[in-house]
Amino acid sequence: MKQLLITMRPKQWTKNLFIFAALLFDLKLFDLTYVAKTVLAFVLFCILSGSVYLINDLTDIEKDRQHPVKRNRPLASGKLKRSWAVTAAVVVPPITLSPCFLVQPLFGLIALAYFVIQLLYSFGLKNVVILDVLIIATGFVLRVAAGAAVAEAQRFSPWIYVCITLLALFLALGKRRNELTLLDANALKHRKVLQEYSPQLLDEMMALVTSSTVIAYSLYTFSAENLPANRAMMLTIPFVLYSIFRYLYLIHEKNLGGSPEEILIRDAPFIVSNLCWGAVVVLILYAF
Amino acid sequence: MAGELVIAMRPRRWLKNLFMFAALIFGIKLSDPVLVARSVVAFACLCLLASAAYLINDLVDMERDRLHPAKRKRPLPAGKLQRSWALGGAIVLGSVGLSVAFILGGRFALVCAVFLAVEIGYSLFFTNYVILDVMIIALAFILRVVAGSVIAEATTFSPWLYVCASFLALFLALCKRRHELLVLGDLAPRHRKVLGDYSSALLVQMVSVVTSSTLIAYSLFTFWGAHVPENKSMMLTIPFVLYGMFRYLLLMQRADLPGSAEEMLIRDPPLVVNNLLWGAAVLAILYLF
Repeated sequence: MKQLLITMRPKQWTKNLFIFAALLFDLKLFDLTYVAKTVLAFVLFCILSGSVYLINDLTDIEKDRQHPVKRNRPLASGKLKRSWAVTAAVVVPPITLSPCFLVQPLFGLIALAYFVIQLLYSFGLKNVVILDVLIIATGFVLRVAAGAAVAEAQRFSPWIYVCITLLALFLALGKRRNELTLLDANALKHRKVLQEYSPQLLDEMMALVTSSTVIAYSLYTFSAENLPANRAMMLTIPFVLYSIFRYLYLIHEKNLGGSPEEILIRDAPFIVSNLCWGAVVVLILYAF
Repeated sequence: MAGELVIAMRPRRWLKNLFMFAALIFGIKLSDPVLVARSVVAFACLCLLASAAYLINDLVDMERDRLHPAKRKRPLPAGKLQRSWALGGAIVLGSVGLSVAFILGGRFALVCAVFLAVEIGYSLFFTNYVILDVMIIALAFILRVVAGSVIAEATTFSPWLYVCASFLALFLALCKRRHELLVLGDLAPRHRKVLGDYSSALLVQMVSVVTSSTLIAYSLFTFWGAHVPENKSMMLTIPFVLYGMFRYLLLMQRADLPGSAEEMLIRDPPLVVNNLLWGAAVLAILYLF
């Protein structure tokens, strides 16, 4: 049971926090009904994304056994029986998806789309250059859209979607770059798509998405509808800029970036900047 | 001694304070002699305060500057300027600057006090922290623009100009780091400690972020900004901004040219001509149309 949970990668569940974006930006953070619904949606998404990892590990089991780190995974190492995993993979998704439709039909559809796209990613699209990072970004957009559906967001700015897409692309490209710099022959075998990328190409793509993120966020702070008229939201731009620069710094100078979830809990300046951003956003949205 | 004091006040860097006039120019208030006169006095205030900060910086860093190949020629470490003179100068400049600021207005004085604190904070503390160093420089530029808009009593000053000014300031600061890294190579961290934390690949990425952001913010200003003519003729100034940034990027690749990054702004003929044309075009469009 515990091995099953490990296979579902609870660490990656932090990504599902993006579901709360709509709640936060639609000023419903203190509306208990929507908060409860969104928390439920978050839990459902965690289980759903966990089952994708399960399916992924099942299909990759032979390849993972060759990998220096991944061979310690429960399935590859044999700690989790194949039959268990197969049963869970077959049973869990339908059980999770049906309550999704009960919470909100639109949410159910989005959850289904998320599940299908993640499966497509695991079964092939992750090996197609450029499309692989776009699919990762799609996953994030769908998380945000799912949150918007559950919170029945009325005033959710389209700019937030643009920002999230670009930000997710940035994280995905940063991860590729990190894998490429720490590359050994084994990793290349493992992630075929890395052969198609070069550090220069990734740097150019990252430059593109980081500047677009900064601009999209700036545009959001001016032109979104439910923001204070005094443009106070502009005060949050420096935090976004700092966090992006800091992330670039960690990728370039410290060779981090391989696992965004590690940086999120490890690098103190990055954490402080993000917390300050969050605090200022909540203050501006809710107190003004 | 007085001459050395003036050198230590770094009058060349007063050019940065010209950012103060942004609100006056873009708020169509250049034809109001009272506001122009007040702005000129306010400009002098900022120059005095900035110089006070430089003196304090040199006083604190004196011992370290003596070991630095270029900085040891500065008046204080070279012993050409006595410590007591520098200290007295800093106190006099700071208090005169702040008092004049107070006469100009309480809010302006407040902005000036923050500006002084940020400048001192930068040279004593933030200058050693990667990323934060350039962001504090940009903050000082924003404060200059804010100071100008307080003095010009700007009511409809376009927020895009703040964004432009801060991205432009970041652009200049990052380009400067990159140029220093290029010219000094492995010795760079001895010249500026924080350069040990930057690599040129990282700086290239950061520069590209702020370059495109500046261009987009400026373009948006040309059609959305307050006071720009209805016929969108302000868009005609975009090519100058584009050329100016590209030219500057080009100059930053050249390690053989003499002078620091900022000096190229006033030394490189194509860049100077471009900037003057940009200024003339802006003035013509804002005031004649």
